[in-house]
Amino acid sequence: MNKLFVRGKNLNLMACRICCQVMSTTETACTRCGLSVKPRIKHSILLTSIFASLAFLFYIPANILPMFVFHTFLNETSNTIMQGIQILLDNKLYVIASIVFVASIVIPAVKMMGLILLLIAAKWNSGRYIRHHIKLYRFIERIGRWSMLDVFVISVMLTLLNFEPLIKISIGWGTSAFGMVVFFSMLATFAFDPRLLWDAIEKHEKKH
Amino acid sequence: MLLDPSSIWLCFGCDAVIKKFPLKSGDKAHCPHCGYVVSENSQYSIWWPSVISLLGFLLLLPACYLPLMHMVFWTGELKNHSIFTGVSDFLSQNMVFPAFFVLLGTFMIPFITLLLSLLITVPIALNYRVNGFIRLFKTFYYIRYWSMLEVYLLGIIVSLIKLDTISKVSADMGLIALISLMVCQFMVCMMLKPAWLWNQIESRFPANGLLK
Repeated sequence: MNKLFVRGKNLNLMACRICCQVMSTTETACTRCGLSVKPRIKHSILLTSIFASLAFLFYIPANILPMFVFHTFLNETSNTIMQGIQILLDNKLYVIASIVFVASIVIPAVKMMGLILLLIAAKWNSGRYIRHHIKLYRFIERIGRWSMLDVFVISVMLTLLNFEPLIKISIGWGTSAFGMVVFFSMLATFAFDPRLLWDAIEKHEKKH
Repeated sequence: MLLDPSSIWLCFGCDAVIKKFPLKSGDKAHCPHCGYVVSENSQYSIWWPSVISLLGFLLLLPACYLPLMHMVFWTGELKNHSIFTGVSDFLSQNMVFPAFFVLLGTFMIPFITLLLSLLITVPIALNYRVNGFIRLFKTFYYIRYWSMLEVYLLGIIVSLIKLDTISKVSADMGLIALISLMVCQFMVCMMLKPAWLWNQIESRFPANGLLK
């Protein structure tokens, strides 16, 4: 990529997210629908990094703490995410095991690493990998919700496997932490403004 | 100013300036630089989203209350699971956050999005001016991503197979309601797009918008 195309920023134009009206950046409210408009998401980098680091903070307890503890009259077994997948593999449920593995281990990890990459790219970007950055952003935006799967599965197990004197499931704090990871990483994705990636390229091109 | 702002689109993915061109019905305009959909021309009646969201609204409580699956234990005991029993079981163990996440993705967000889409589309369809409806649309536009009905459905499938190793489980009536609710919710989110909505408004209220 050698020459950047004409962008709204160069012409001092911006568009309203809600009604798609294009107007000058000097406006504070949309000329058509009257809602407040900004050329970029406000404090995008700051908010994204705060939410992403909160998600990362919860990612550690989510993997260490038990998701649920299974009490039977014989014994107690506590299950972290990995142990749950191990049990599925022992029962030869390979498809289900891989779905759970992708949804609760791979997706959160990819999301957080991807967010860090995007944050760096929004600061320093030569434009060489911009196609990959866009693909990464789209991917993160789309897959985010699917990590909630584990919390939902536990809510099903909780009601169905509750035969009080014999079997009881008590929920561990891992479930809460895991929900938090998904929640904050979704917030982080929505706070990120992909236009900043192109702004960074423009800045880079001006320097060189 | 070099350009007339009304003759261009701005891409929300990369801020590119794209000259407007006429779109055939049902066509989408993609940004040539980043592939983001800049505009689409959909031509259906405003009654479609309102009817579908009404339908979804009626399905909401059955989908949350009716049992989605049941399990027969070897003692002969029968257990039912619905979305609300899952939430109340989380709450009975004082686990507020998981209960909140389940309720948010499967009840609150579908409820709010369907209600908002009713409140937005029905007055427009009836040619009735409502002030401040654009704020409702803004809320709708930003919270629609948080609906997790399809993830819940996958969760049901996963646990059906998982619990089958322990005892006999089977799907129940509520699942039909949940799937239809998911379809309704999905269609409403697909239909209510900014450009389409503004076409509808400007064709009905020529005096430029509802706020002025």
